[in-house]
Amino acid sequence: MVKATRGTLVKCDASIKAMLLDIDSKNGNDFIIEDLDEEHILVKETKIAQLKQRLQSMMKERLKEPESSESEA
Amino acid sequence: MSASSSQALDYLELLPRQTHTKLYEQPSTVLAIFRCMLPHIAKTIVMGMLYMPTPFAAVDLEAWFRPDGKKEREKALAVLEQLHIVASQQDDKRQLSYTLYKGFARSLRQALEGSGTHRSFGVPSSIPDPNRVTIPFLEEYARSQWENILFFMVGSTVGLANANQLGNAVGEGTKALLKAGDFIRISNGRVSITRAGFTFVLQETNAQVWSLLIVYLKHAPQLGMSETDVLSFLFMLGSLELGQDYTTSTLSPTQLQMLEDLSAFGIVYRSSKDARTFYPTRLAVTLTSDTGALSTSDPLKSSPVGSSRPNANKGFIIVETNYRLYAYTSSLLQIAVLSLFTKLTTRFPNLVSGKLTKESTTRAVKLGISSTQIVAYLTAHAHPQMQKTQPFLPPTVTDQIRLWEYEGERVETTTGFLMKEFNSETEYRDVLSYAESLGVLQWKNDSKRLFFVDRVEQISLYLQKKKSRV
Amino acid sequence: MNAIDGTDRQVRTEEGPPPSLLAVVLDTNPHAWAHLSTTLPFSSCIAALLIFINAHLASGNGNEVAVIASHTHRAEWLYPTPHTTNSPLHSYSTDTTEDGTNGVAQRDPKIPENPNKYRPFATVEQCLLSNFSSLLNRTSETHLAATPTTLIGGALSLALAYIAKSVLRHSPVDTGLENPLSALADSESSHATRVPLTSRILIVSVSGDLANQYIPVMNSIFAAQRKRIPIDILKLAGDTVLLQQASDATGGVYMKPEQPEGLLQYLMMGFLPDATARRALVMPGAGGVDFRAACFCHRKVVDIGFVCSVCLSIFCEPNLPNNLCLTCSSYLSLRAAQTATPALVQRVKKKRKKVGAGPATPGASTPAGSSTPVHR
Repeated sequence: MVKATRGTLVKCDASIKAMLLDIDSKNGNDFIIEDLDEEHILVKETKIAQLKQRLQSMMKERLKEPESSESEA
Repeated sequence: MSASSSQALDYLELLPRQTHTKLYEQPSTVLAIFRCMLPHIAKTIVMGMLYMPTPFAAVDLEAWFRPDGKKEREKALAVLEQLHIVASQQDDKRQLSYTLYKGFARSLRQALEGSGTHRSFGVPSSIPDPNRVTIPFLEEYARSQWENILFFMVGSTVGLANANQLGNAVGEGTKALLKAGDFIRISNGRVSITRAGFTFVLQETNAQVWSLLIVYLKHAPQLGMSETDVLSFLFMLGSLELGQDYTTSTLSPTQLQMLEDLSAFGIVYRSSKDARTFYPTRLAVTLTSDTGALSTSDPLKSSPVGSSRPNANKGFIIVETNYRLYAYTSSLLQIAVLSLFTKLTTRFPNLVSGKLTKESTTRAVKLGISSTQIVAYLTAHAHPQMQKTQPFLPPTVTDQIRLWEYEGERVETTTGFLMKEFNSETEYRDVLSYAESLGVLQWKNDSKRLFFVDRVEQISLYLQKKKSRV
Repeated sequence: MNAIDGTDRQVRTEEGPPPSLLAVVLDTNPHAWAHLSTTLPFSSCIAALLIFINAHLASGNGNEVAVIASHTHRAEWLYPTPHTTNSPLHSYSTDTTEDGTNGVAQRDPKIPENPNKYRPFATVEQCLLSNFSSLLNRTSETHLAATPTTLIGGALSLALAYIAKSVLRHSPVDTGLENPLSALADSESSHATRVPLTSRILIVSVSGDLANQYIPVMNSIFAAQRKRIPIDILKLAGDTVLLQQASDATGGVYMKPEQPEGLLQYLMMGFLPDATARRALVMPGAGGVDFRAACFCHRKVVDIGFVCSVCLSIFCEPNLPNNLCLTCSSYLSLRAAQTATPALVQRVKKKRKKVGAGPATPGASTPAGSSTPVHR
């Protein structure tokens, strides 16, 4: 029997996916419904904003932004 | 079908059958839905069936289409069934055939023939109006009312000093509606625009009008109005003549109530609150047509080019490959919108100049504006000189705007449904190809027999039908 | 990867089909309609045609229509009403007063306000009916007695000219840089309204024999073919190979309904789909087209005939009076061709026996009067 599961499809790089899986496992698997393939996961629709926010803060922590070299003319 | 009417179509598709049936009682509504909601092939099918005395057998319908037109045929039929325009049925010999719903067919015929006594195309006022207004006045009225609304939304975000005064020009009802549609948030008397609001502001005028009206429709039941009444009135407005005054005496109480709200938006004009006539503005008459090109002015005369939309489509932006931006405008609204994603530096009486920078773009992205919206806005308002090249914008600039956005946002999300647990490969293939033909397929994995769609209604309908047929 | 956030459904820019211009050439030949009056009176044909036109206008927001009557003595505009024919004197005398608003002022002011009718539909209907009745009023008995046929060639040319004009009007902003001033003028216009136009011609024909207009009609067909304008033919009565070939050469639809009473259904099903829709549909009329030409002298359909080298008129026998072509009156001696034919059959390769028979003859006959036996 065919089943339809409501959710949000998240498409991202493998590296970002690893981070998302990490967030998920640290929060009691509250976000991800299904791991689809290397670049796609299915996330609970209600949790997507929260997940994005956590990803942002995690990126800020881990990635050092290069100094913005904005040359104004 | 265009971008602006497609959101109206999305809304219409989700209405229940009873509402559709009631809507289709008005020939003007049926004609408007036919004209601007249906995909092109669907129109062809409906017209082919309209004067057909017998049901249209499915095999004949299939034979009518070329093999490579299968995708378009299925899509058209799905929309038609969803809107309850076409019904499929099986006869005793299990032969599938299609018929038009009676109400729809009758109304469409009346609209084409001009028969019946439904008076749904607006009753012009018989008494000459002493304060008759001219078309330029109506254009100006619509433009100023609509820009006030947009400016009210954008104004405070970009920090213009007189934003609060401009808010006064916008009625309380409109403000409440913008809030209800989640276009703005008001906290401590300060107006801040939301992500949906940005999407709204960056759309072209016609799409903006529909977005606002759909919010209006969704909230109509709370105000004690019937959805059908509201919708048919809107569709009727779309078939009126600009510059003609129409009588209010044939309108229902709901529609009279609507007139007040609509005049606040600038969609209709009334000389006073209790005037017995109303004038549709350009915003109203283009509701059901994208260009307003179906003009009644004599086509042998020059084309209606100059008289198109009030403020949209006048290109004024020049973008250079070095990210510099020049906008020939003195409109505060346009400057405000530009300043959402541009670093503006200089302002002259008829020109502002600035630069698209990484900073300004990421700030816009943080506010919830997507790169697609920025590019779409710049393209839609590209100066005619820019329009001589294809694409209008320098590709380096559009690519860089996208790249800047991806730096901030690393994931792409789509809301929808994951379809899984197919019994067999053939079933999977069948449903997958149907989803593909509807254009709702987002992602698939053949080995796991999974796929993801952003709309599920038509697919579940298809699955049900399949089940009943087996 | 265009949208990083899928919440913006509205931004999808799905362009609708281009607007389509339908030019209807209505054969109003009273002789032919009189024959049809028992099965399909003219009034019901007009009614069906109006519904069809409305359906066409409703099928696309930018759709336009033009209707031309091909009458016995003249081809006449039914819609839109040309300005000049209204009354040249009138526009001359009031030139100063309604200079700018000429187009609006000349629009028929008597369009009745009918709340049961969509206004653009009412405009077309009113225009068409009033122009047609004035055409009928101007038709005298002498006109009718003069000829039993209809001026399809003139009407076709009018339609083609109108289409050419409309296409120009709709063409996208000129990318050429010939004239910088025109570019400046363009800055006022909007690009959205200038999308290319697709056009087609529909001929509703009732008259039988059109061979006397072979040249103008053929020229129109070639023009349409070149401009890629399909010519659709709805043949309610009579039969002409000429129109069949018109639709075949231009990729149009040819239909000869067995029951003219069902005109509206034929129109809706067969002729309403525009170029965009036709790409997905199987259109009727691809079946056996009679490529044979009718001879101009006796109007018999011929397998092998003689062709005038100047105007390509076809004759079934070589005995022309005074050796002059009946159509273009140029000198044409066919006798030489006739005698030459048997000798040549053996010389040409088997495959091309019939087709290639003629062209080898010029040396045998006089240069001006050479002719080509033809097989089509």
